[in-house]
Amino acid sequence: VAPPDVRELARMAHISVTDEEVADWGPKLESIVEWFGQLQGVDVEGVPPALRADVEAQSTLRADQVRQPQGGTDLVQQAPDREGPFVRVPKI
Amino acid sequence: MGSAAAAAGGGVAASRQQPHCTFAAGGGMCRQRHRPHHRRWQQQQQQAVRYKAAYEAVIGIETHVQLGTKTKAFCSCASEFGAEPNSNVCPVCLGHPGTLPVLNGDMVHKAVLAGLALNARVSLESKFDRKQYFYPDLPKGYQISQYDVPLCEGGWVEVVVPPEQTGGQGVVRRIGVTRAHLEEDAGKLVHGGAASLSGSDYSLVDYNRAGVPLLEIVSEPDMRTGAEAAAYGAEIRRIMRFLGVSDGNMAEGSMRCDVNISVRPRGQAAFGTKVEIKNMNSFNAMQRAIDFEIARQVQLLEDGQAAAIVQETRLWDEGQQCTYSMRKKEGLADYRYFPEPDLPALVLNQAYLDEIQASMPELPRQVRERYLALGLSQYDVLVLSDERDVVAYFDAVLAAGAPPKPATNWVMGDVMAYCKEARLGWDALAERMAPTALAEMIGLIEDGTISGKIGKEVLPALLAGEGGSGSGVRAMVETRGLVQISDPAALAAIVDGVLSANPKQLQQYREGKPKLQGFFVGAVMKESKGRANPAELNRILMEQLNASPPA
Repeated sequence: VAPPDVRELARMAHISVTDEEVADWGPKLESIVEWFGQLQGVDVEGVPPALRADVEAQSTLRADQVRQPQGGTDLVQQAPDREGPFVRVPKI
Repeated sequence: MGSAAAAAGGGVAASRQQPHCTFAAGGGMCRQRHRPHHRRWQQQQQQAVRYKAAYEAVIGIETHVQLGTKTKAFCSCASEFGAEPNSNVCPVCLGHPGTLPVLNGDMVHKAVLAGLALNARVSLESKFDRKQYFYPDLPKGYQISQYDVPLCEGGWVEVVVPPEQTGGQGVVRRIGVTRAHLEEDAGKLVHGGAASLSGSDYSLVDYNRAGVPLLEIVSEPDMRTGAEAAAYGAEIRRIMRFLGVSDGNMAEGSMRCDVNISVRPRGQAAFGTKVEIKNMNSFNAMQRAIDFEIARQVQLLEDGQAAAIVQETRLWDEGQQCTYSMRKKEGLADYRYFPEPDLPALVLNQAYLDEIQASMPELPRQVRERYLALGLSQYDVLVLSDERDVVAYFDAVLAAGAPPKPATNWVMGDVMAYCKEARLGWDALAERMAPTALAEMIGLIEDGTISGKIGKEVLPALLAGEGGSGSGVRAMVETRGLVQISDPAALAAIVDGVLSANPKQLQQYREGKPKLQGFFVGAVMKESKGRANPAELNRILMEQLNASPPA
């Protein structure tokens, strides 16, 4: 597994990072990935990939009926920056 | 970017510092921004004809169709157009932590119906994946889509390029469909209000659309002209509307088409560089955009500048009638697809598919086949088969006994014009003028009870609902004394009267002014209050006019 490219990841997430943060986070992220990388030592020859914990499950299809969400519409109120009914976000 | 382009229209462009497309930079057509776009269009067309022999365009289309379900793809929020911003939202579609998606059953039903109508293989087992990228209109930071195991694969669509585009009978082609898959829509970024006025560095988001169910249909790169592409788009829309699966309304955003286009010298097997074009809001615009882009790419090839054609996304500028490059701030996107762990595989059984296949309504292609078999022209067939409601009405008129050709003329002519002007839907029309009433009126013309001209006079009354649906039309015609005079004796009497009353014109006619026949026809019509049977009248009149005068 290639070492994580902190700058590239930050660019894709539209997050700015300082040189200090890149130097600090790079090795930390890499050690986390390597820790999980221990799993690659397991022999999975002939074992079908499990995409979910519960492989037997069939699709649960929801009926197409409108339901108002619980908790009312104060969800949008939680956005830190608003203009009228809209959420205000930085232009990308 | 898009809104600035729209505002530019035809003249504000002076505010643009840089030429906004390589065509302009190369001294091409766009340089003359004030030139009316129809002249540019003519130029492009002329060039297109010159290049047609030497180059071939390869065109594929990706269509996003909004499935017309009541709720969103993965939550029970209403999925509707025009609601107050951020009123149809919940923790699931806003991507709040701890929420889980639950698949909408009707979304699956509509997608399977569409897939079968596209003649595709519907997979009994498909899965969902996360397409990951960060953007303010994408609440979860990923879009739930289907990547490598889509719901549908390998279909085709019959496309008719209308006669007026190609001449002759038009062209009928089969365009392949590579795949169709389910996914959710993102929210909508608006640049209105304070944001655009101050030109500041923020946008406004409305999440009503976030989570709306979409079917993405990818065509094979089988199209070769803008006209074919527009016809393909129109057929996809038509199929979706016939199925009741989607509105297919490009202006409202319930259907979007993105075009992929490359150009190569004819005979070359390798494809040219592929360019993506977005931001076309009608099939007409799509056709113009493609024709423009073909001309642009061919020009570059002809100038030995093949390297100037780069793989990129270009936007169609409706005001300037050209494509321009989206300023690319990022490299090619890396979506880091992986299987969606929050959703089980979508497993269907054959019985479900068979049930849906059995419920399939008649498709546009089947209607066209039927109407062609009736002997109607390709043009007429295309107009009549365009909308399901028109088909239903027309079929009912035929079922009531009207012969196809006159039924076609009336429905496509006066009735359609009335519906357009009154903004009347065809089901509402049927309540006012039942198909049986129209059929009855046509029958009265066919059997000579009334003339076609009387039919036109009577139509408004029928459209107002006076025809009933039994034999109401005959009764109405008789009550109003509109029955045609076809009896030769009666007509002869009127003709006699007219000829005697106009001896001077009769003399002139006999001396060599055949055009006066029209005068006599008019006089007889006036005398008979428009009720003389035109064919019979002409026959009797000519007999009398050409008879030798009494000695």
